[in-house]
Amino acid sequence: MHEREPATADATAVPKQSPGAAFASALGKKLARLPLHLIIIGICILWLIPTLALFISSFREPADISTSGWWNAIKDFDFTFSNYDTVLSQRNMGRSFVNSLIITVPSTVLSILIAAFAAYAFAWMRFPGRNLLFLLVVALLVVPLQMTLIPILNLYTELRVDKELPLIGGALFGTGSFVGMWLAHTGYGLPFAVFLLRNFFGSLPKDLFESAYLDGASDLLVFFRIVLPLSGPAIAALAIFQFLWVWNDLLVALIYLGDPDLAPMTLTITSLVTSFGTQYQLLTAAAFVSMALPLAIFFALQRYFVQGLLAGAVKG
Amino acid sequence: MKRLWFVLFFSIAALVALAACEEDEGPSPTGTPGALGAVDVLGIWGGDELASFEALVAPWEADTGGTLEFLGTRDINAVLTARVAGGNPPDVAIPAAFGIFRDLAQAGNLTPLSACPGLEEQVRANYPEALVDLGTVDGTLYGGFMKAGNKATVWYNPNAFAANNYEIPTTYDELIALSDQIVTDGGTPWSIAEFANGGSGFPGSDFIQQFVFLEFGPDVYDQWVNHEIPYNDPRIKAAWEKYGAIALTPGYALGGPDQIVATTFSQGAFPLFADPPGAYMHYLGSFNERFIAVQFPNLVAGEDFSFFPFPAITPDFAGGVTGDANIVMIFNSEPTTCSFAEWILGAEAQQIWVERGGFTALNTQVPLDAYPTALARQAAEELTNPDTIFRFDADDAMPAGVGGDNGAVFQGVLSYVRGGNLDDILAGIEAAFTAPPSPTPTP
Amino acid sequence: MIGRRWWTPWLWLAPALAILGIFLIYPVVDTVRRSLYDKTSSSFVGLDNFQYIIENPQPLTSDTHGVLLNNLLWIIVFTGVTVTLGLVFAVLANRVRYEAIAKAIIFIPMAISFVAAAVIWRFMYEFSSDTGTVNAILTSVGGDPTPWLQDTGAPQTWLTQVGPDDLPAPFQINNIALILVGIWMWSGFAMVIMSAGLKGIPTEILEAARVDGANEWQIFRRIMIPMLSTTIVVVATTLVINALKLFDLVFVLTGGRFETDVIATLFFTQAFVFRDFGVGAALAVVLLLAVIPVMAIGIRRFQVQEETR
Repeated sequence: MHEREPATADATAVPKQSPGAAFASALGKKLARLPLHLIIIGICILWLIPTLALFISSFREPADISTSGWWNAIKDFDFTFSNYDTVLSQRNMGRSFVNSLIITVPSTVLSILIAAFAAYAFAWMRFPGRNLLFLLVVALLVVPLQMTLIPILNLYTELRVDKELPLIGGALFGTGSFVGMWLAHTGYGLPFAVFLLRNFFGSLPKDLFESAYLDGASDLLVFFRIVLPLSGPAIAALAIFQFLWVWNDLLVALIYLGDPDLAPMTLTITSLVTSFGTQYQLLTAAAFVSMALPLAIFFALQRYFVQGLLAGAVKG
Repeated sequence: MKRLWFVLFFSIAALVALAACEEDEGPSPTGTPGALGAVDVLGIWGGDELASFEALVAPWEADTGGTLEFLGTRDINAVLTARVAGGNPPDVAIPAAFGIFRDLAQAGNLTPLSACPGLEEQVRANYPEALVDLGTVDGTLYGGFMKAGNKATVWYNPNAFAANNYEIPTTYDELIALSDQIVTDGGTPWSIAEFANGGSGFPGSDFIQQFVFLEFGPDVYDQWVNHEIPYNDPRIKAAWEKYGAIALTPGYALGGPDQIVATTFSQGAFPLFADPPGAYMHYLGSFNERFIAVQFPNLVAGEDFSFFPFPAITPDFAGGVTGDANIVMIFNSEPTTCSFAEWILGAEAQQIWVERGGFTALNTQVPLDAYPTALARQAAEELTNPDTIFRFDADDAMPAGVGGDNGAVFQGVLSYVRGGNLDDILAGIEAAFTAPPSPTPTP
Repeated sequence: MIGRRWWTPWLWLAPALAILGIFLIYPVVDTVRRSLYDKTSSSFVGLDNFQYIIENPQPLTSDTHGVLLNNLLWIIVFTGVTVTLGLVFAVLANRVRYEAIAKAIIFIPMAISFVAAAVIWRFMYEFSSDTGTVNAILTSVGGDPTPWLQDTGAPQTWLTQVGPDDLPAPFQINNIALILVGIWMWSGFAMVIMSAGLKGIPTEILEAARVDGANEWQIFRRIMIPMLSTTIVVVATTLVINALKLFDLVFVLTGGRFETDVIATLFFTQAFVFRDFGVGAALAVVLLLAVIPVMAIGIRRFQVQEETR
């Protein structure tokens, strides 16, 4: 990321460059990287166009959206906040935001924790059937969500415990309960989480573990003191995706929750649209309203994407 | 730098939460608490439909102390199927299509309306007999009806017609003649829009069923729906060809087959009101009024946009109307459920939504002058007039896999528009009827 | 390791296995059971449902052969391009100072729910060149508007007028259009994970190579790719499996119409629209079986990797 400074050994050995030459050399370096910048910026622009279209459309009048393209809005400079106003004042939107948080955060934390334990076992413990079991877990990635809806709903309906939970609301377990949602989302996210973490844990240098075991460290110690800190990028990546998938989920909430008071934002947003699919311009504003927090999480976790976490960890 | 972005987005998120929370002053339940509980309703409505439905329910909540817990989703078939199969049905369900109602009734998942004291009598007294028969499965009444749609409406731009001295056609031959006239004058007569995701092709299916109904009459229509005549009967084929005459004749439909399949149905009427008009006629049910009114708030219903009744083919069957409705069904007979069902199927409640627009009531006690626009009144009048021959939407009544979303009929329409062979298509639909969509156990 | 009892691994695995057992394995077993029963899961019909899938008697409404081919196209094109793009972008972004912003821009599509993505791409693919971005660009350079989501013609004729108008399924313009949306959404996923893997490469190795005179391309080929190989496999496997069970994208954009149906949407249609749990479950079982080759490749890779560990 940073250009390496040429080591200046002896001031007399390396002649000082004239300012003009220094400038030309710096320019030359920059120009050499021009293609790099062009490619990156080019791809970024391409990727940004659809999102930009959505963003601009969210500030346009409903009638305009169906008659002219979003680029016209820039020409005519005709903007309105009405879409955002409608979305934010939708009954229950505030409550839904909180519900989304209540559903998403524990699900993310739970799935990472449970997956990390399992991944460590798969990566660094030996036991019979290890590889086969791991592949079975990965194979479960393919199970489509829709396949699980009816059996699990059956289960939840039978196991429903109707005691109202304080503070967060909902039943204690089963349909219409947050606990049910946490477990379900954890279940759906586990195959990918175990897959990802096991590969990262497995790629850590063997010597680290061997020296720790030789020193008499227990598994728990190794896990918390060595594995987790070094797996910052992987856990951060996992956290981002798990958060995202649960935050944006609609079907699971629709089927297992069923109670509009407990509905997450995704559910409340769908009620903005009529049964014919009209008034969909409200979805443009709703998309950005809903996107704000996940993006904040993304940026917050960026600090874990630090190069060279393993620098110096391996000796010689 | 990253911290800056994080702070930025986090503040946005926090502001969102704050702004949303402030608006969250929900109505506190009035009336005697504990009088009635919450009623769990599964429906399809969202947006301003939902607002209207809540307004319809509000007096009931105020009077009885009950609370409405409504979940609206366009995937109601999936959710309802899952919940019923999973043992967790709602109290009341109001889907859009008929098929799931019939399947659930036959499987015994529904509670008959007679289980609620007075409900069956109320429905029998206030709804046309044809509809009561429709809600009856195996001799027991299971369903009531709300929010009907009149499907015998052809939309047009009265100003454009007047400017060109076009007359409203009253027969099919006049319709074709008018279309030819428009072509000669250099315009495009029809705007057709078939795209509707999984339901793509439904406007064409509606079009065809009107042709069947108006040319061959209610008896043949019934035989067709009940599969007493094969789907590739020459009469049905003739109806499809009439649709083809409009959709496929070069120069008739705006944009040709590409535009037909790519345009969303709710936007099909928009070219009619461009300047100069892109097209002159658009066929869609009476619910088109809402789409046009929202898109063109300056246009006056009845003056700037209107519909004419579907042109007659056989004089005997002139004025025949096909339509559809949302079906109300109940899954238990608890006091809250029964009280709620009685209210929403009653005239007083339905009138509330009628006055807000976008709702045609089938309850005969709802006065016609409650409708907000002359246009809505006309659509309602045609639908509920006891002299009108009325039939329910055909593909709704056909079994799953043939009619309805993803069904053979809709698929057939799309294939036909894109140039498929009509005989093959009709044979395919007939096959879908006869060969069941899936294996059945050999007895 | 000293002192580790035989049951320790199982203790660590227990929560994961329990949850997986309930939420994924039990439904799978239930689905397999349903695939052997009739549409309401009340009478046993043996392998009839699978025979139905093979014979494809209702191509008009449930084209079982078509969906399998569509998924195959997704697996090859979607996975190939997304993995490549994610990797390339992660490597490129790693070398500029505005890395976080660049990555965020590619990542944003993942943050958007499928519902919102549907709205965006409806705008993009709209047929009318007044509202549809792609068609507007097309007409402004003199082309004709194309119904992207509905056209089942051959992709190459659109570009070059060369070759037949209609290639066999699944090579259709609308499939390619949908795959493009998938690439747009999932490249961020591939990039984030590759980026995490990239950061895990010790800097000393990279610096040493640079000092030795290797240029960036050589570093990329000789050092980064081998060291990222497990990460690449993770991403590729996940994307292949995503391509297999793809649902939301197709469902919200076309509803599976116009021959864009995939296994999961057909399963949904059969189970929840036609209310036929027999054929639906059989399709799901086909999906599960289709992952076995992926597993087989995985086994081989693991055996190779284990040997070097």
